[in-house]
Amino acid sequence: MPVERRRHFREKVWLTWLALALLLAWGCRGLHLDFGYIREKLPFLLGLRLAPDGFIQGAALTIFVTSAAMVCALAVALLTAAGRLSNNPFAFAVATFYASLFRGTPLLVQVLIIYLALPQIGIVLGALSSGLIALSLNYGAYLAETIRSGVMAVPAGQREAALALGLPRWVITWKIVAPQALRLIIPPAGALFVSMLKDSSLVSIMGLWELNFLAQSYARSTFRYMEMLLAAALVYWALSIVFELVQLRLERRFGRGIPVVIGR
Amino acid sequence: MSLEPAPLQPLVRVTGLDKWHGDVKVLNGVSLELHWHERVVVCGPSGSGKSTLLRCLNGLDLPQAGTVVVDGIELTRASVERVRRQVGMVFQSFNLFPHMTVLDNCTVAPIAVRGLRAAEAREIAHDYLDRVRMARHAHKYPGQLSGGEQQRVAIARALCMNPTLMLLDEPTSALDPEMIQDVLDIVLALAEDGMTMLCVTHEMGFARRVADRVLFMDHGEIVEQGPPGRLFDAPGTDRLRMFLSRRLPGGPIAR
Amino acid sequence: MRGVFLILALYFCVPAVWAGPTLDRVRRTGVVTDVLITQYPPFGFIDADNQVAGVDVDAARAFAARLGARLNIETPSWESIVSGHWQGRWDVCICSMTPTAERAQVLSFPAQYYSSPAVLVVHRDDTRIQSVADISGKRVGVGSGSSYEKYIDRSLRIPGAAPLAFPFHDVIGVPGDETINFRNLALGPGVRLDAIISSLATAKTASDSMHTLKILEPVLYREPSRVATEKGDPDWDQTVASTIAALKADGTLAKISQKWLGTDVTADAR
Repeated sequence: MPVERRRHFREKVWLTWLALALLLAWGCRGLHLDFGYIREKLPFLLGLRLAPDGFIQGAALTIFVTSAAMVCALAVALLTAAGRLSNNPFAFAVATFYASLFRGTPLLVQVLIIYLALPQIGIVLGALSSGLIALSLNYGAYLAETIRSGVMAVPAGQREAALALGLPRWVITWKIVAPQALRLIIPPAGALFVSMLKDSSLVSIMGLWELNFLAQSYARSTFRYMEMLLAAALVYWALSIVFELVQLRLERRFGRGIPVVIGR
Repeated sequence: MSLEPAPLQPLVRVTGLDKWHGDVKVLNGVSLELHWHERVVVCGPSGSGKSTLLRCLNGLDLPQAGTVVVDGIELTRASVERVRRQVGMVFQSFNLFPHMTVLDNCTVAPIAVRGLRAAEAREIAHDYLDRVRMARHAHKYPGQLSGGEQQRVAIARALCMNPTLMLLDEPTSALDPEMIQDVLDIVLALAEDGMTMLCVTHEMGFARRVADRVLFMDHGEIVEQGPPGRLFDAPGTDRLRMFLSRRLPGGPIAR
Repeated sequence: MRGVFLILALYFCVPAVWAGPTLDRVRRTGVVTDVLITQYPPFGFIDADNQVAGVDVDAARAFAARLGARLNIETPSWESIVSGHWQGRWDVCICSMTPTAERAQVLSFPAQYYSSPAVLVVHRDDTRIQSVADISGKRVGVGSGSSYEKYIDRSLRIPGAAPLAFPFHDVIGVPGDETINFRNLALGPGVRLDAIISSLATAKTASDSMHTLKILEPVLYREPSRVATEKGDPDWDQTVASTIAALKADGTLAKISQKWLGTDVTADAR
């Protein structure tokens, strides 16, 4: 019986999605778009062609920047979360200061400072490096808070039982606390990364030809603003959906053993 | 576990434990000795320090003053991991690891701490799960089990480490009445096999059957101790008398 | 593919740029790095082959060729260029920049390569606005941070030129994205905007693709577009000035202007 109900639920969800997509498509017809132009520019937007200087561009660059920044942000976040949870006053102070500073200032300001202001004290960074550092530091601060709250939400009894069994500290962190914390961390972390996908457009300030920049440039060259905006939006959406599917997979993996309340 | 002749030294020696939680003194100069194969039950009103005393024996709580010696090892920050390998603990809220199967719950410590190979650890786990009558559920997750079943697994998990001392912190207080007896039966069987244990519980009937000695605690001190028969039928102090009058069947808290 | 990864690795591992005298660097490396904006047709834009093209690009190519160096084009944001302190990343900006007092604090403007007429644009069916005097009290769209914004604010001063007359008052400026502004104007007179002030080139491109706009005569004023460099290297500025002068003298710049704009806007340049 529950299996039947789940199948009906899923069928209805897909039908609704189809209807909404058709509604959206119908809405776009009213804009009288030049789909030929979109088709012509799509390979460039997706990054299937390289930029004139031989560097990757478009969605390919967006994916690269986001993925690289994700890995770095994760590393930064783990360190910061550890610092904020530690008993060492120095580590705690540094971690808290950093997190507060980078969550409290706008990402754009951080990018500009790293790219334009740091050179004035002698640190001149390349375009890609600046973008990656800014994204990693900014998102690392947010991610650190997510990690910290996930870890704190694991009941104290879990640690106590693990300690009582004589498990060493690193085993407790790695095998007992982390898997349980990850169940709580993954949804908000996934949302952060989807957001980073869009924020990666800031690297265009430094002259990199990412998706948003290309869409704007092509749009202004030919005044086909709507076509290019829509095309870019759809590509971002497609990328986000891929992220969300990965997130779903991870949620299922780490939600093992814990009964889910809503039928899926 | 066969009954070897008990060593002359006590397994646990606690001397002058003092513990504060903030401004409140939870343990006040508590001293006691626990002999090999002895079964001790601790009872008392809430806030009397029973659980704290228990937790001081495996280092989950560290006292501000006093010493704890377990099997000749003095409990300090440095030695605590060694002590914990010999002391098993069962919690009121079971504290099974929800993301691992029953079997994995029981094998994680033997593999990580005692260095057993996975196959060996699983064999031992199956044995103990059999003893607590949970072998059929080895591949289930704790979330799929009832409270009583979870507590039985928790007991098996602690036993897999082959402890010399078992600490039970109100093992049945969180259970529905119909499951309590199952768990108590298992603890009884454990006692009959000669396991040294210190058990905090409100179950008087169980205490009578299993305990060699009962400790009555109040306000951080051991007020009275002795064999269960004498303590429950002929309480020596007013405080114990008052405690018992509230706890006996027919009183406000009937069990 | 490997080439891409190599370039990626290079970008990553070589972040630092030596901030030395520009001329030395150009001579040493044989590369001159020019910056421009690719969202400003027909001066700088990305064409159908995904290449940068336009007046500024052709001028840069001619400039590099005359210098005997290879051209490297970068496309950072306008704010990055205009705030100076290039720290050796870029050598020159042939990017249709109008000199202003603020920009002159961090940049030098060694040579003018064309002058850009500013025009008033209205909707084809507009009957109320015949000349710039009629924009008093109306909503006029201008590019954010542009000299046109300063013009309707009556505060525009062009260094080296006679002071401008502002035959209007109380104009409601609507700063924003120029492309969006033109689309708004095309909706109808007074629907969202009454008029736009922009460069002739931008207005022509918009008018050619939207067919519902009218560019009013006469030209409001002419802005010099000068080549910009980072302040502090007079030798380099000298080189830039003489190179641009040479390009003007032999008609290269005039030819480029004719090709993209159909008229020679370099003629007015001094």
